[in-house]
Amino acid sequence: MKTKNLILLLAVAASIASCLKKDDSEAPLISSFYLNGLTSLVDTVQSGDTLLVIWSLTDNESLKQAVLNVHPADDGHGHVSLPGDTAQVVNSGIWTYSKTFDCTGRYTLLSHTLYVPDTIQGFWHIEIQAVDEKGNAAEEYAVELVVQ
Amino acid sequence: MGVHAQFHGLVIDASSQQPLAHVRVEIHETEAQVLTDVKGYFIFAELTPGTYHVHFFKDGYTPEERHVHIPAALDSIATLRIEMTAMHFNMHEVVVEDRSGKWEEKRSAQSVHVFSKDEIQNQNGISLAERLASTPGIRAISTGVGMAKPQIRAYSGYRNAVFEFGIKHEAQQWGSDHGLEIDASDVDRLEWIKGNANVLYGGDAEGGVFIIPTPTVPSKKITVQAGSFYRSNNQAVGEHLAVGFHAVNLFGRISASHTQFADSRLPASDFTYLRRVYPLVDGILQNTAGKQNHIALTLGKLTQTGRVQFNQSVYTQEAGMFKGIVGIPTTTDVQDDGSRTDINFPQVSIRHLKSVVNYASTWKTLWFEANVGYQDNWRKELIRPLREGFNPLPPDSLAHSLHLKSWQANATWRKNEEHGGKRVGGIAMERLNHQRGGYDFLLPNYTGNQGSLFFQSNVNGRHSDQLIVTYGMRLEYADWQSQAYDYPVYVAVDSIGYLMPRSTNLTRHFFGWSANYGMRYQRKQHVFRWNLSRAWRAPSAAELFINGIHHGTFRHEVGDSQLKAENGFMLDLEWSVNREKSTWQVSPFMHYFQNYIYLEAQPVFSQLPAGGQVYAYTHDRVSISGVEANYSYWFNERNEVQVQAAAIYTYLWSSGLALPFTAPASGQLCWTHAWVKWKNKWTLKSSLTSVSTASQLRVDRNEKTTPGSQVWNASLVLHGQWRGYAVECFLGGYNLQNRTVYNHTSNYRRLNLPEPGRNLQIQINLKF
Repeated sequence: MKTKNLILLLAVAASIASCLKKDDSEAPLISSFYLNGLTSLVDTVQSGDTLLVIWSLTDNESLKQAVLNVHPADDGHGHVSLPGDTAQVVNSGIWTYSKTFDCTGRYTLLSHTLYVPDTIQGFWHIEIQAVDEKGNAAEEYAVELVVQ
Repeated sequence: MGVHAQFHGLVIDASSQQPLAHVRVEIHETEAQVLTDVKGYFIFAELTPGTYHVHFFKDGYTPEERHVHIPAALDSIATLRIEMTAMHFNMHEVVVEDRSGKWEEKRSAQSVHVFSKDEIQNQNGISLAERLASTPGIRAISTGVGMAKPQIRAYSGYRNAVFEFGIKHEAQQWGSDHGLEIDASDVDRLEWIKGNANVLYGGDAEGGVFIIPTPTVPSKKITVQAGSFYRSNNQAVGEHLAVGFHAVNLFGRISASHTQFADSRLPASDFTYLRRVYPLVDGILQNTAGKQNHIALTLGKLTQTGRVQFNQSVYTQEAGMFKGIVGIPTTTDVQDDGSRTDINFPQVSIRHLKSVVNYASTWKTLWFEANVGYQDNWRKELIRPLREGFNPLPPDSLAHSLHLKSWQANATWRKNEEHGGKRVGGIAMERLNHQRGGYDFLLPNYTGNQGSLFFQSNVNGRHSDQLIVTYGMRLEYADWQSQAYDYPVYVAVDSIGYLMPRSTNLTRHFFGWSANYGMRYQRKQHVFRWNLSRAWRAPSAAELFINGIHHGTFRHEVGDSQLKAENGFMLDLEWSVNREKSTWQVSPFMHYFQNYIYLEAQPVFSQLPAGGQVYAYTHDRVSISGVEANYSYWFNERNEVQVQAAAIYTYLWSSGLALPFTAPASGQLCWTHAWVKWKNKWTLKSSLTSVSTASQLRVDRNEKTTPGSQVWNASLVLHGQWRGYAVECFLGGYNLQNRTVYNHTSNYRRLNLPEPGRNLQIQINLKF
């Protein structure tokens, strides 16, 4: 009788546990990134250049928003890994940029054209971030631009 | 001419029936104290007729308490004979009364945990919250060393009230990175009411309440306490001095303390900010040095019917904030700057003033207590001026000035009943005023008003004195008014594109109630408690109005001005057993909130420069449950083993995820050994503790999971008497293996920064 009661208790507990829902907590993924058709993490460009940025996002349920931003990198900070020796100079000129993109679905391909100001020189980062409709944030993707 | 009465008595040893000298007899209501003479006699000569609650304390004996009724007749006299029982082992103080409601733990459905000065002082950490965090059910949400706020179970910030000098401590508790502006070295005693305490202490006591009682009347004409400590990891040095006096009916106390600490050292080589990776040179957490000062003054007068006293305290703190926790760091920022003690940008400067007048008196069969207080909390966050986006360079380093003033008044009436029952009624009022400043924006200017009426009864059961029933209710009102603020958005260098409204003129009113019903039942060595309460809390100003980048939490936080008041049901249980050689206690709890307010990750990015992802305050149904357990066993007079454990499970009903900062399950095993007792004047105790923390895999969205850990701590405590001084020397070692330990409830967890490594602490205290 005791064994039966225990089995019943475990069955009730398992039923309750199965009723507890777990929301999507899986982060989206920046699955590809191309800068002027290249995939390298460091690119050398000229001031005044036009850059075509293309990237794709995937999610297990539904994407919501992505942001592309350009920020100075002359402070020496890195993304994903520690910065190299190159990023220890003082930039000349200001270049800051941010654009938000609305997305839907499990997969999206986004593109954007950036114009490098013709008055700047130094190190910048192009950074991509994304969230899905639940607010899960993707690991960012960044490339370093050496503007000459 | 008033009617005066006398109360005298005799205290004897229960087993030998011999008189006991030097027993401290304290009338709770008036805080008047006397010591028994060599024949065991004591006397209170000038009392007003009424019902008093009297405590008897003597080292090595179980504390006793009695209710004494002195009839309102001319020259009436009350007498009492007390037998005190010797304790075989040194147990924690078990007689507890909280202040505002004058409640007794032995006659309440809620349990109260008392921290003595030693228990607070002899712990790892600088802040008060860190020093309490080794207790099951309490954690510290910390921002490095020196800044931390207590977390009771899963509740922190505005869900834990802290009462000092009889009023609620009001500070900038909305930020998870903001510490509690109370000096740990000046806390002689702290009481923690476990579980919901809304009825007696208001909406902010939803998760529990910490009470720092007003300084007691010194038992001698002059008392002096002095102490000093040193911590090796961050080279922290602290000193404190307190002098008390008691002359006829006047008494007072003045205390001062100073603590300073250098940059902490961690077992880590890099950290991550907004997913950018920075090196950590030599494991030194640059710019985490700081200093804090605290001065407190109490002056009081004992009257024939009670007492009146004035308390004034000033707390200041200046501390560097690690570059990764505030603002965007550069690699240069985290390099060794050649000094571990300097405080650079970003830094925080805090000043907290507190002025309180307490009045307590008997009136016929009623006991009356009133507290009136003013607090001025000014928090300034200074960040090196940095051009963000197209914004112009800030004119100075003052990013945020958060200036909060509060005025509070509360009054409590209590009626003692002859068989130990009590009834308490009260009223509390508060006004808040917040003024912002600085070049950045987070919280608008706002004002707020709160008022409440409450009662609580504590009665014996009909058929048994072993059964105590507690019930009560509180009606509460709150309103908030925010001021509009428009923030210029630059679309090009020095070119304002538009004004973004960050706050609007708004008024919100809230009205609600909380209640509790519980029982305490004692059968032989077993004590059972349960308390069912309805919790209610008005949203805080930050939850309604915040709108800005909170650098301390790395995100753009947005309030919701349409939030409803938070309410839920909380069931707290406790079963404790006290045997001759062992004690154990189990405290399970189950809480359910219909609309719990929390910060939720939003599927959008901030439009502010470097704003990151938006997190907005919202409601959800939430379940919080867990258990705390404590077992102590005394093998003999010299050896004690203590096992403690705590676990919490939080569940957000809409997402199935956990609440942020949910502490992982943890446990500790402690062996204490008393080595020597020399001429009954000196004792040396050692302890060895293993602290284990499980990994935390149930996390909120975008919150990091945290691996488990195990560390060894050890301590030596020498107590004794030297030329009339009570001396205590403490030597403690923490994380003796210097292991890399991540703290899930630390703001540094997000940066992949572990807790400070091995740390030695030396402390000396003198008292006479």
